[in-house]
Amino acid sequence: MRSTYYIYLITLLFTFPQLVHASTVCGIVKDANSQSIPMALISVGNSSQGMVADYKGKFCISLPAGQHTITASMTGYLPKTTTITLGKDTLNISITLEEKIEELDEVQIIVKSKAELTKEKGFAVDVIEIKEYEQTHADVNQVLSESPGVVIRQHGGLGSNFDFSLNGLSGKQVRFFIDGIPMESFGNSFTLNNFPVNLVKNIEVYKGVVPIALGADALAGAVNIVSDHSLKNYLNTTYSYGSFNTHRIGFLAQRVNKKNAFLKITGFYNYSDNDYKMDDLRVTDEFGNINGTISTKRFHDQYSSTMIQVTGGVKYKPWAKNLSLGATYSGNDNNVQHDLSLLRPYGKVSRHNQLFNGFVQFEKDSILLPKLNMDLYSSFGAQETSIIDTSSNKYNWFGTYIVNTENPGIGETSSSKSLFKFNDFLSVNKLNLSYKLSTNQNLKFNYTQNYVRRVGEDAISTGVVPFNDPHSINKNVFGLSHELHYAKDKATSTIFAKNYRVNFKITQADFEGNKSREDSTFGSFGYGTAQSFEILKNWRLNASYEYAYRVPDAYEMFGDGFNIKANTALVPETSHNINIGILTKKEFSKLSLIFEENYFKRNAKNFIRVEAVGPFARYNNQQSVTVSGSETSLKVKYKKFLHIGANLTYQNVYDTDKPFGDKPSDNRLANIPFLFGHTHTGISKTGIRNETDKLSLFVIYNFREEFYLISPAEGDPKTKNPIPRQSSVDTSLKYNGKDNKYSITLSLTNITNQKLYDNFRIQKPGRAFTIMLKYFLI
Amino acid sequence: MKQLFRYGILAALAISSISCKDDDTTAATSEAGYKYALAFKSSSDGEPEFIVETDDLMTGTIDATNGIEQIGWRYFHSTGKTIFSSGYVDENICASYVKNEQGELTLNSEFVFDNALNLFGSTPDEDKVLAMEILYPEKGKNKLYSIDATSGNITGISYLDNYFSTETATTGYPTALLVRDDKLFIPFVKWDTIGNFTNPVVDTAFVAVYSYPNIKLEKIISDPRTGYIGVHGSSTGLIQTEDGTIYSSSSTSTVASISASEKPSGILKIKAGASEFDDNYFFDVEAATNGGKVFRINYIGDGKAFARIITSEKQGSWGSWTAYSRDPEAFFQKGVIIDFEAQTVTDIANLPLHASRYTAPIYTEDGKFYLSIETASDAYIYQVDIASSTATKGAKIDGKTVKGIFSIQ
Repeated sequence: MRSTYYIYLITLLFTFPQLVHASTVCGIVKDANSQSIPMALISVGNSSQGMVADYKGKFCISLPAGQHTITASMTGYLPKTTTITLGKDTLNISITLEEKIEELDEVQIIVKSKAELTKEKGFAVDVIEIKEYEQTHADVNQVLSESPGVVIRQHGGLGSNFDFSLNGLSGKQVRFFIDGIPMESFGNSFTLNNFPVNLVKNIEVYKGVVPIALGADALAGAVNIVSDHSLKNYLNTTYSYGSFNTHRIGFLAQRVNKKNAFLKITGFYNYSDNDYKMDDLRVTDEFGNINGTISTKRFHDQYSSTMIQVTGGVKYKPWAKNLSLGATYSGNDNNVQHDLSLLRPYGKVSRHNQLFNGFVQFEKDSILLPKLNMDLYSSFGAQETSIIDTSSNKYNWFGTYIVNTENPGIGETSSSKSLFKFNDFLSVNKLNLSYKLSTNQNLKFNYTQNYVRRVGEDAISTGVVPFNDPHSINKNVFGLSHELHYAKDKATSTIFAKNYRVNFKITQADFEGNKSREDSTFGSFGYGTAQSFEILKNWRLNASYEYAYRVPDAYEMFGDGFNIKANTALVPETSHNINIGILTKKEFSKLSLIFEENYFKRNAKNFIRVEAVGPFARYNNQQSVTVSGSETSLKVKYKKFLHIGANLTYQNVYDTDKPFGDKPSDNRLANIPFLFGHTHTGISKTGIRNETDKLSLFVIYNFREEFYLISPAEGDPKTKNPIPRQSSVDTSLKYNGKDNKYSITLSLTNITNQKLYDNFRIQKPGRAFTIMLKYFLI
Repeated sequence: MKQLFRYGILAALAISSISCKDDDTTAATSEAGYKYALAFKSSSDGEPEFIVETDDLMTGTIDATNGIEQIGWRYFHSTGKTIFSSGYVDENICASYVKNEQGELTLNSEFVFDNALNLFGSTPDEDKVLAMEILYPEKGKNKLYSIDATSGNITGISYLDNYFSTETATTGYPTALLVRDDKLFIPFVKWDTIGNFTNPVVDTAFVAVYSYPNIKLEKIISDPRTGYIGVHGSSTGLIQTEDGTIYSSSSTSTVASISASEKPSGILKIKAGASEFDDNYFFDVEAATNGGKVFRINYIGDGKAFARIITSEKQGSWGSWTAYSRDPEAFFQKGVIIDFEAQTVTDIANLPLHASRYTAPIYTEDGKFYLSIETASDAYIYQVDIASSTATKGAKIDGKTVKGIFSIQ
């Protein structure tokens, strides 16, 4: 009852100008079985007034006395309109919605999905609803790699390193989040390529222009993985087994009691031998002369990762919309197979990582001020990362080795033997405030603090130990934005500003043990806007701009005190990011089409690159880059039978440096793909063995044009090093059991067994199969 | 599409099968094809390197359009008509290139090493190349590769013991490899034991003398008249003339790595047949007319050498490594011709002040030598007439610099 009262209060304040003559209508939305339907959308007449019913289906809305039509709508139900006559007194009504069983899919097209609503804010954002993809993919990377503008370049099999690039910019320029929390705070074992898709509700890919709620210095954009926060009981388990002895287990469970207290446990475990076959591996005689090539299986690339997260709390209480406490453990163990040139296979080198973290989240609407909503998050974690290289064995691709007796201090990676370990203390604190200025205006504020303190040690190395003295970096990002809906909700305008303040505290020792302490702070100011207009019915134009930053990290600024020299004159990388997109939707009785065309431009300066002089190096602001390109995507759906998604990205990434004063080197940047696309086709048939089961066949085609490792405009084509064109087909067959209680998926990737390369010479797995079982207990 | 892909793989196989040929490949000193090969550093992103062939060093523009692509930063060295290109950070491969029967410069061999080859030298009759992988002596031994100059293959590996370990907690870091008759001379600098290029012993020149080809340490000779021999990154700190005399050069500059010393920059001599410094010879280059601190030096024949002399000791952002950088303070090197016996330093007319980031093998022919000059705004090939000590500006380099000029005809 109290929550109703609160909603009543909020509603009252929202509609302040009319308060003098207003009365109230309260209601409940139910289904045909008299069960309440939570979170239905309540709208009044043709006005923009409206609200969302609470978790128990209840709502109260303040209206002037007189006649009104009230419409309740909810995905999966037929909207229902009721006419009421409101007098002085509060009116209580009950609205019963009929389920829209047969046309469920079509309803989903009509009702604006979360994805569409997010897009209508004008940001260049790709919202991937996992529902569409759960059929075929195991991890988030696989899903993202089919998104336009995104290139993911894997260095191997499960758990391998990868490079993520967004509209031609990559590396630290793209930031990753889980439910708005910087991903690095969950540890190095939490990465996109082991994060199971079944823990995810949707993924937002913000290109170049990032809303302030994701507080970070994301020069190129950000990826936010959104998990399911609904207050339902569920138990969802997945197990898959596939080629290269790959096992993946994922589970997601939540128990909710009548008082809205919940306990949620999510977790995964992945294991793979990654022993796929590699071709054209160069082998040598006993001296090192290259005397041939062989094809062989990888023999030292085993990988495992584990994550378990427990969250408990309460939701939808008058005193808190959400108060939860949680803890995470994550860890991984990764054997390393080879160096980047593939000339040094390793047999013993390994990397390990473990993280424990605890977090608390508190969300409350109408805090201090009636229209002020708050979301506060705080986490603390400890992480240990180690790199082990203690063997004198020198392996070759035949899997045998010789023992390096001449230089017993040298490990497999040809530097000093090492038990290098670094310990991080991590803390993320985040505050989001949202203030409703009026029914169509919002003011939002974000503060994010990201603190890392790192200390390194090495029990056996005779060389330099990075981070031997503690390094700490404290990043603070403040954001303020104003959002306006106008032209009868056909247009949205957002303007925002961000302020970055970064503090480094570094202690460095030189070769003689003399310690010097650096403590430096600097700030930068960024800003941007996102505009969206519905220019014609079903035609929407989105435009966005941000002057974005990436601040140097501690390593770039202060080096390692030894071979990497400090450069305190470093300034942040900056970029003017522009996106212009048009989106249209056509619906026919059985066919629906969504077409989207986006143009993007990046004008980036001061890229931080390594500059080597003599035996030393340091980071320097030394490169300017322009990116221009376009993404085209088309989605076609025919009844429930067929859906096709296709996209194509073309981008020109140019080096605009002027090495000798006036003449820019007119050359595409090396080692960046410029043309790539995907198609995703699915055919489904329901009612195979019973009324609600479904059999689906999916075919995915991936294409990436050949590109060059080194300066594309230079060099004799015969001697150039290409990363060859990729053209591969994945397919899968899925059976969803009765009432979608379970599913079985059989997937075959790279069915034509192509030699695929994301990176120069580093071959990816060939043909592989996976069988995946999913079971939904509740 | 698939076919194209397969062609790509075939091409890759073809290249690797060429690389598999070893002893049967003859270094065809073909008259066909280009005369010169340049180790070319492009000004594109990451400053990639190419081997560019040309007949004309004096006119037009030289670019990398038809260059042979190299992976990462390379050391270049040539012996006879074979060019060696050795990876540094990005690739632990040393490749050799020779002309094929059609006169095209092609990949001849590739071998793998553990870390990086830091030093190169050739035997006087140009049948062998020596290359050294310097490991910090605390970790083990330096690795000396003996490479057949024609096949480009390693024929032997020697481990040079902790021979420079001393009482002063310093170890020796070799700076050149020079073979004369049955001896191998290895000058070195003593510095810290970890390899941080610190704490050098800068007031003495040291040379370790080995027997050759059976490499055994015979003795270590030293001389306190100047600083240590050689500069980091160049293998030319010891020069052998036609009659077997060896001259050394020591920099002692405050901007040429960590050689700064009170001692003058100077040249020592080891007489033909001898293996001790000549007490009667010392050329104080700093005291000479037109003299100064020597940075890099290259032999140009007849007892003469081309040297880059540092005209300003001002350190830039790279501190004591300024001479290796493109700091504004780095463009202060002048070109001179040194006559070892006459003990003269002659300025080269018309050669601008410049930087020299890399070891830059120069090419000498008919009383003239060719080199690249990198200034803050451009880079050109210059021809220097030795007799008149006058430079002529040649072809423009459409790139950052040329790290070496080699004859391949």
